Formats: sequence, C-alpha cells, structure tokens
Amino acid sequence: MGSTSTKIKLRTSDQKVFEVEKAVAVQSQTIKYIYENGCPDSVIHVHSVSGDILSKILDYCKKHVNSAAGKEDISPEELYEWDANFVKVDQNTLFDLILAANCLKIESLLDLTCQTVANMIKGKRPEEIRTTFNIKNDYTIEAEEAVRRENKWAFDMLGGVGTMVIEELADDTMSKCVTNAKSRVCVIAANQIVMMRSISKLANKKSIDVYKQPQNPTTPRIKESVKQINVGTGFIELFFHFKCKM
Amino acid sequence: MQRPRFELPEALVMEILSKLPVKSLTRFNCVCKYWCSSFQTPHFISNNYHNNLENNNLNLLLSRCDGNTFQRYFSQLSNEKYQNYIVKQNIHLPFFRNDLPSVYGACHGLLCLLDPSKDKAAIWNPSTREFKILPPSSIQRPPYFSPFEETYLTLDDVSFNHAAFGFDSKTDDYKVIRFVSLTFVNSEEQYPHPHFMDQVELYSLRSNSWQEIPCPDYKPTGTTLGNNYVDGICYWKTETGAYLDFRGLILSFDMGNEKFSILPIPEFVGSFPEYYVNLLVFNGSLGAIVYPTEGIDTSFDLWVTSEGVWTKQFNIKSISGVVHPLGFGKNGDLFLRDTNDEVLLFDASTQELKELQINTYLDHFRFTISLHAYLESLVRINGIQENIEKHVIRQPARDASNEY
Repeated sequence: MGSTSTKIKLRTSDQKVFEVEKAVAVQSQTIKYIYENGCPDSVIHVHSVSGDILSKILDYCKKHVNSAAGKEDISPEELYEWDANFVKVDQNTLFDLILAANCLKIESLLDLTCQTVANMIKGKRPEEIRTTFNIKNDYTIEAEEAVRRENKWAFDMLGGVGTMVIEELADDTMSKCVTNAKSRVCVIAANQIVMMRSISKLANKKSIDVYKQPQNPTTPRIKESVKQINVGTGFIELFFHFKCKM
Repeated sequence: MQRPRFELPEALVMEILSKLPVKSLTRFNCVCKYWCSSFQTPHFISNNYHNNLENNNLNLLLSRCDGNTFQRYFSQLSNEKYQNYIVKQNIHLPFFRNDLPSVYGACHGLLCLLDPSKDKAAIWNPSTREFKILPPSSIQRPPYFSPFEETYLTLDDVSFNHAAFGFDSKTDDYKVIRFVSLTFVNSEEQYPHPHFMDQVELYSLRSNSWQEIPCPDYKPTGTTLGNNYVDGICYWKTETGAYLDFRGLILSFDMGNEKFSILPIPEFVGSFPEYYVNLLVFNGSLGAIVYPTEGIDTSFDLWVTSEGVWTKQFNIKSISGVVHPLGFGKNGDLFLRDTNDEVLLFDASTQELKELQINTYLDHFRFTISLHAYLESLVRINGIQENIEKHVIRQPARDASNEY
C-alpha cells in the first residue's frame, strides 16, 4: 500500500523537512502548481511558513482529505466541530495560519481562519479593533463623532457583556433625574438611555446603580452592577454585565 | 485581543472584514477613513454579500397588520432555531401610514415596498437601514373611448396590484416592474359599467425614473409566496380559459432584455380546482408548492424547475389543521398558517409541527400574513437613513437580546 502513495517533501522557513502524501500536500494550490510544473522528486521550499505552522496545516489538510475520500468515518457535523477546535489557538498563531493559508492557497482553511477572526471581533468597539489590527485613527475628533452619530444604531447594545456609548443629554432630561428620589440612579429603557446625570458628575463616581426597566411596567426593574466608567470626549462608556435570557 | 506581533496585509484584513455582519461593519466605519471608504466599494460589497449567501444568513420578516391601528408592520424573527424563531423586533412603516404596502424581493438584500392603491413606493435595505423613496411615475394614463357608448370614459381608479423587484446584471441596475390596472367608467351613468385597461411601468434605480413598456397579453392574476424574482427573471401566476378549460400559466419578465414570456405550469399532481399551486423561489430556483384544496390532512409537494424541467424535490406528509404555506425559512423549515390563522412551523429536521410564540390573535386581516426573507447586504441605494424622516421605526420586542 505504501508504494502506491506518492510523497512530497516540504522544507519550511526554519529548515524543517516534512514528508507528506501527495493527496494531502496538493490541498495547497501553491504546492500543487510547483509540484506539477517543477521536478517531482525535489524538495519544495515553503519559505514563509514555519515548521510549527506547517505541521498544524498538514493536520488540517490530512483530516479534510481523509474525510472527503471516506477514509475516516466522520460526519459533516463532526468535521465542523473538529474545525472549530482546530482554530482554538492564540491570536498570533491564528494570524500565522491566515498568512500561511493565503500563501499556500488553501481556500477552505483561509475561509475558516478568517471567519474565526471575524467572529472574535464582530462585537468589539472601534478602539479595540484599532489595537487588534494596529490601525492609526486618522479621523479628527469632530469627524469621528460625526461618523459615530450617523451610525448610532450600530452602537446600540443590550444584553450579554455590553458597553454603551452614550451621548450627552439635554438639560430637560436631566431635570427628570433630579426629581427621582434616588439621586444616583440612571434608568435605561429598551435601547435608549432615558435619563442620566451629567457627564462630569458621573466621572467622579466610582460606582453607579443602573436599572433596566422591562417593557411591561408591572415587572420590577432589574438592577445591574456597573463595573467601570470611562469618560471620553463627548461620550461615556458604562461596562456592565447582563444575564442574557434566551 | 492583544496588539499583534505583526500586521496582516491589507487584503487579508479586508478578507476578514468581509465576513462580518453589516451592523459590525457600520460600527467600524469610524475605525479609520480607509476602512470607511473600502466598505463602500463594489468589490467589498459583493464579497460581503457572497459570504452571506454562502452562509445562508437569512433574515425573516413576517408581514402583519396591527389590530388597533390597521397598519402593516413587520415582525423580524430571530435567526436562531433554538429560540423557536421568536420575534426580535417589530418594524413599523410610518411612510405608508394608512395603507398596506405589498412587499417584493428580496434581491441582494433589498426589498421593494409598493402601495397597491396609490403611486407610492420605496426601496429598502433593512440591513444598512437605508430607505429610498421612489419618485411618482409621470406616465400618462391613456384615454379610453367606448365605441358602444360613443364617448370618452372617465378614469375612475388606478391600482398597482402586481409587481416585481430585481436586478439587471448587464447594466448593474435595480429595477421595479409594476402593472397598473385602470378602471374607466361613464360618469354620466348612474350605475356605470366599468371598463378595464392595463399599463406596465418600469423603474430604474440608475435613472431614478419610470418608463412605460408594452403590456403583455396575459396579466398577472396571482401572487407568489414571498419573493417572485430569481436569477434575472421575475415571475407571476397567470391563467387562461374558462372554468372548465382552465390552464395555469407563468408569466415571466426578463430584467435584462425587458421582455415578457409565458411558461406552462405542468399538471403536477392533479389540476385546479383540486390543488393549489403557489409559486415561490426555493434555493435559487423557481419552485412551486402544490397542495390539495380540500381535506383535513394536507400534504405538501415541493417542485422546482430548472431549464424548463420540473422535478419534485420532496414531500411533506399529512399535516393536520394546516391551511396554507407561508414560505421556507432556513434549512428547509416551512412556515404555515393554520385554520385559526396562527403561524406554525414545520421543522424539516425533526419532521414536527411546532407552534411559534408569535401572537397573531390580535392582528387584523390575519389571512394576509406573509413571510419575506432577505440576506444581509451592504448594497447602497441613494436613500436616507430610516430614522431621519422616521419613515421606518423599529421597536425591540420584550426580552429580546440584541446581537452584535
């Protein structure tokens, strides 16, 4: 059986050599092209991929080739779970996998790894995104606020671990707050802040009671605990936890 | 997430971003100017839509009529099956005020809303929340001379009961085709006999205007379930012949060459009036749900056509108490309306009929409830944001958790 499977030798950037079955190696369109257009016996250099990363990638290719060829008895759901576990790696490894999958032209792996990063970042705030991708913010403060205001609805979040970007409220809404017996309360209804203390007064507080009012007025309010208050230019962020009811 | 060791090249960052939901991308407009402008390029919009298509990120809207205000509104259903498709939010359309607009599409994530009784229409991208009001058509209504009465008749009514919304790939343009039914009467008579005439109007988003096109011999007589546009062509049910010689037909319109055609409807199981045939779009092709008009236990056949050949895809056996299908959700789940006008779900994987907690008992015109599905998309339509003129108002449903 060994004589019927062709092997291809791959050398990585850190001089490690891997000998792999042709069917597994040609999952990479790059390797396939080099193999078919070059000398079949020579070693193929994969300059931009390290040994560790290539080892992982070959695991992926082998799993997928075996499952497609029926060599392994694995259902689509099980393969999907295997893939999900495959990408449970640290961020640097994930980025390395993306670069390697791109360079080696392994489309399904590139899709999988990019989708994984997309899922990790989809709930993030713009500031966190800039850190993740090392992006310089080239907006002026006014320009950024204008873009935020235009896209305000995309910042509404409720449920789960949430952050809310709250804009400064007009004075008439402030007066409702003052008449409330509890002087340190801010009430959040549906997706909007109904009333709140002024930004400067909030900034001095270490903790704040936040109440969430369900739409049915007879249901009692739910108290949330605020973990942290950040004051930025023209906005406040409250970090708090909700229990998400499904 | 921490600061990385290195930066990913731009092309790969864009590849990752194209897999994000529209809401996240909208939020990330303020990350930097380059990202904001990249998200608006046709290439990015197309990649993002393609990803949504691959992942079948279908959003479901139930079109209903409020029992108190008699206004049409949408209930957006949760995407998650384990949540039993509960209502996530309700979307009201103050733009249409006291009228019940018909919904056409979706095409590339866009829906077209048309008032059947007046010249009022809009194109809507519910993902980006862009709303574009179409201009009124300035097309002249023709005069009608009645030779019998030897006089010109008066135009008594104009209605827009059949339409479609689709895409012309040759000109990269979104178009709306609308059938106009004109009713003429002799205003001098006390009980005038109505005379009918039809026109066809075509709207192009690129030119932002309507033009008249020749009317086909057959006019649409029936509606489809949800979307009636697929792959460049719009479809309507039509018919010919008297009761005993009745033949169902399909009228089609090619958005590209702007021509009408007629296709026959095969006799699937039996013929009208024993069976209903509801046209719909299924998995990217024109299909039909065929089911008996009589009987307590209804069995549904799904047929799909490809290049003129109809093949039966599957059959859903005997569901009791169910009257009409509303359309398919994700994964082949079928939404149905029962004899009490409640919305039920036939779960394709468990083969079970489930009640959904969508309380329609307070609704009005419950027999007009319809299901519409759209994929998320970033496609731009030169409209304005929903909240600017408050044309569209969203209300989260109680206990709904918001998503990223």
